[in-house]
Amino acid sequence: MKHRKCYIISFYLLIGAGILLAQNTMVTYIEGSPQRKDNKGLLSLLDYGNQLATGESVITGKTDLAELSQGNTSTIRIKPNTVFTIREIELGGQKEQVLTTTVGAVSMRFNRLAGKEPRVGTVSTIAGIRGTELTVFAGPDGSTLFIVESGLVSVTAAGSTVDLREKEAVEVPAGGPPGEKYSVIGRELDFSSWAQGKTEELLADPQSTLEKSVTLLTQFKAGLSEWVEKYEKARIESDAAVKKMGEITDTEAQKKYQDEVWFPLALQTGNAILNYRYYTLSALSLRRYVLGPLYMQVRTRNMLKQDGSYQKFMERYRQIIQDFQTTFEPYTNITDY
Amino acid sequence: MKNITNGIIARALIGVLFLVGLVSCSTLPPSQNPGRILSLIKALNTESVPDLMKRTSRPFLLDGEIIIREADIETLWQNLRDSQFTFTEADIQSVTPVKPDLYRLFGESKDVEYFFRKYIPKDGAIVELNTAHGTFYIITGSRTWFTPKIIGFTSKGVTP
Repeated sequence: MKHRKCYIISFYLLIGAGILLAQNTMVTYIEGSPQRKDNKGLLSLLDYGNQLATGESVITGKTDLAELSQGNTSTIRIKPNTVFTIREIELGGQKEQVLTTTVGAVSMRFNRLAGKEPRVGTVSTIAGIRGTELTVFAGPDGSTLFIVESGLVSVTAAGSTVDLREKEAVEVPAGGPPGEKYSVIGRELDFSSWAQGKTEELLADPQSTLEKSVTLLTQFKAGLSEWVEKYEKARIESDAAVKKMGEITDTEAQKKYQDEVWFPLALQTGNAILNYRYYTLSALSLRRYVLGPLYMQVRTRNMLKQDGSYQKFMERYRQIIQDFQTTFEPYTNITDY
Repeated sequence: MKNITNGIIARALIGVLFLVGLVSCSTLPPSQNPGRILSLIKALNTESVPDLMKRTSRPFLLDGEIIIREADIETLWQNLRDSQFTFTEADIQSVTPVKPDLYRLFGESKDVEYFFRKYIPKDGAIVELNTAHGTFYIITGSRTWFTPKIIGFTSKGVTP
């Protein structure tokens, strides 16, 4: 039964993701030993010429660097200590690739003349871009900093949008709307010192970082529940269409019904899966690269002095993880881990 | 004559010890060999963070959390060093080759279950260790030379 469900989901995903399977991303430069996490969830060393498909990640260590190229449309430079994932979401009826910096720093350059640009995002935001060169910092507390070298970037988070132009930057806190944008002319923005500042802030008040993550998880939960509902509805309609299709005896009429009724429903089902998976994987990324490291920090700093604030943190953490397990875990599979 | 006899006996003894060593090596992987595990614990208690990184498998399991990034694992060891935590007065209570259900020692989540299925090698073991700071469960597996690597740890009673 479980296998059957997997096959059905894979089938709908294949229908939904068909276009983007062709838009692979190639590894063009490597320093050190960056790792690749493939769609089976397996870790291996990244190599020159590797083709990365949607859903795959690059994980760099402290002395690693990787550069990716998407034909003549974009160049992506992944800096040390970064997790970068190529993801996909359906927005307004269209599938969009989201180049996601989960944690760390990534610089991207897009060719204005090469057609439609993908979206750029982090665990908490998605940005639309137009002919742009930009850098994304994703902090250990789930916050994001967008820095635009050239072009235009529209950053949306928590229902608010900020438009950035050349030499402008904006910071987005985890779970919150974008802050005030500012000019970066004459300012050197370095990821290490920015991330260090964020780490110091989160260590000064780990409880507050937990609550910001809860705000984000609540947003993912709302997205998940909306798309699971749409999936269930589309699946029931699609199954009914399959049944009806089987009852049609005339081959031509059956083909017409398949093209005009069943296929759009199957596509709708595939898109709904794509989107509920997007929210599930966002939540999983938040747990893996923000909550998990935060837990590690609090736990290992307090191995020998587990005072009241430590106990309070751990109690809240346990509640969050329990909620995560009931809300998101049922929509994950072994390849996600 | 006596010297020659002593020499022969000494060589024979060395040969026997070598054979015993070989036999023990071939039957028990370092990750399940108490002597090798104690060497790992000693290294964990005394070595520098860069050396500990070489003894640490990635991804790493801390309680119920999977830690993937090199920088985060480095921070983990640095924090333990800074807080002066060691597995001091370590005494091995048991060494159990990893079995499917043992993941529950680390938590009930899919994270832990899948970590055990995906990231622990075939020679993996769970070591129950009594220390001055309480009981710890350490996952060992694979090796650097003759010493096993650490793949994760948790402790009794203090995990969320």
